[in-house]
Amino acid sequence: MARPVATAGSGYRIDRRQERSFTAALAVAHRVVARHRLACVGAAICLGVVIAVLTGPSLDRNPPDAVHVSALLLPPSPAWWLGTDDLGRDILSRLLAGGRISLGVGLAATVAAAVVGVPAGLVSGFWRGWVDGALMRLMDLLFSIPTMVLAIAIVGVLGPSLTNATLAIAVVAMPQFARLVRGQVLALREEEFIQAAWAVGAQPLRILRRHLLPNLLGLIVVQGTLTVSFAILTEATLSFLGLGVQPPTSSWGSMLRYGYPFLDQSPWAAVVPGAAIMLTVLGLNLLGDGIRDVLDPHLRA
Amino acid sequence: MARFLLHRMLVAVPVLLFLSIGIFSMLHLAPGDPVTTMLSEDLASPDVAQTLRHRLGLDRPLYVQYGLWLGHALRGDLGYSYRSKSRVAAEVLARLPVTIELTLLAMGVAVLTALPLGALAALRRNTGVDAAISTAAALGLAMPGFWLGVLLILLFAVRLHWLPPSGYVPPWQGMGANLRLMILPCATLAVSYAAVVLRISRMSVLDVVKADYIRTAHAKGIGEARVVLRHVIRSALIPVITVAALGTGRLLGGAVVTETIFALPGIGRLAVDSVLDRDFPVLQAVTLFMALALIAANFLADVLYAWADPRIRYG
Repeated sequence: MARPVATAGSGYRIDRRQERSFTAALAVAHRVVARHRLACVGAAICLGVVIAVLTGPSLDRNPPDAVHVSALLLPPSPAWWLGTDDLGRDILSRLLAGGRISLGVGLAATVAAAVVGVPAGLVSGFWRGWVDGALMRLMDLLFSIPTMVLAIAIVGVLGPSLTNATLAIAVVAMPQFARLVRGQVLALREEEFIQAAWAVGAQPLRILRRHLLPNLLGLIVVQGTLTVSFAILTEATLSFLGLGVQPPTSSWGSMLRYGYPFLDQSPWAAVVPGAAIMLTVLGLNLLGDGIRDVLDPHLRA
Repeated sequence: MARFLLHRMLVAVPVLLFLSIGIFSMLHLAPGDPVTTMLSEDLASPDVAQTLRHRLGLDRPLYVQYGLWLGHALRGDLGYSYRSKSRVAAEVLARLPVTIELTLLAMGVAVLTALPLGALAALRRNTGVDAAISTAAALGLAMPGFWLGVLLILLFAVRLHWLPPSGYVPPWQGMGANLRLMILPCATLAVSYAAVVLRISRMSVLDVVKADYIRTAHAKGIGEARVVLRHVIRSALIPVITVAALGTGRLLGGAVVTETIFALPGIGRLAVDSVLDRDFPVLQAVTLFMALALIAANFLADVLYAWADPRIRYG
């Protein structure tokens, strides 16, 4: 599984009028909707999944862990919309509840990765020097281990659990944030508007906050979107291998793990959570790619 | 060129050294005592545990342990597995052929399908063909490897009974049986990698097609097929090689999952088992080995650049 890459481009600059308002974000959103059909599909998928996962468990009166001994491995029917698993648990209820875990881990790991990676990239690119050298060598080291293997090694050290899996995903995703932000800062600091800010005597922190950060937001949003999808996929993989969430809690990945041995009797318990993962990841990828295309017309492929 | 490659090789040495220090200290500072895991509950009197800890050298300072480990590792001795008590190096070597066969087959299949498809999508851009190929790539990218494996088993093994669901036969015991068992795992592993290669080859060909020298080639009256084969594809290869090399990590990570689903006794399966058993010497060896493989792949990519683009001369 490769780390997601939001291409650092230079096609879009936030000018001073838009700098401090939501209009910039709205303008981007409008352009995504107007120009990019696939991104809309992606946004619709994401919205649907989020609404289902947020509201579903509270609308659903059947507890996801309730065992129905008389209803083992049933196919979908009016009573069980997506069938039941080997313990007679309702797959739909479990899917909605497990989605909270999957999406939660995806968001938490991404936020953690960004919170460490973005400042690291800013500092590296802005002040250069030995900090830059040291940080980038560290990132190179992290890059030299395949992501999945690194995540497994980290979980191996800390012990399999949901928290540790989240941590591992954050560590694996972090270098990409740092590298992208650093690269963009290196490009931006040579631009005239930054040079002009220096010339009028702006303080470094002000330049960072007022001039650099607004121009990095697009990149961070795109990378963030793609990282959520990467994190959901990685969490599912770890949980499928038994290295993520531990029973009785379940996520989409662990549902697949426990449904998989009963494939020949009833495929639903394994097929349904996999479809949920794929749909969510697809939605996020389409959305992320769409925003990138709109922000950076040069890179439209 | 030779100097550049030598330089690249030498640069890999400190990376591996730091990596081994990092992994070594991570694993040895980890919570959870391997000694207690190795001894069953009733046997674990403090005396026995202490003796074992001493025998394994776990009571020495960390840097001494690392020095000893490195000294042995350089001589090909990676220590003993906590679980099976056998040599780690032997265990890794025994499982290596499975992973190598799986990844190389998957890589070959993926590149041979993705490269032409990507080029085709680019040459027929904004048509139905392009849309179909690009959609397939997006789906392949979002497809979790383990889910694809499950679906393939469901269709070809459970429903159609065309192929065995899982298992492994070494090629020297029967090439046919070996390949039959490898079809599904290879397909599973190839898809996500192929999706990445396909996207980049489409993008790359789109870029090249616009270049002046392609127009020149057309203007000289060279036939379409020859332009595509001789000029477009070859120039478009550079980004494809980069991504294919970077994708080796994806492939190795995917091998972990694929080997687990299809019960293949490879390195990836070994990694997962070593985590579940807290078998640190094995986990350490496997992690380092995977890193080494990734570094080697990137090294190979550097060599291939020069072949694909004659303007690149390392000096």
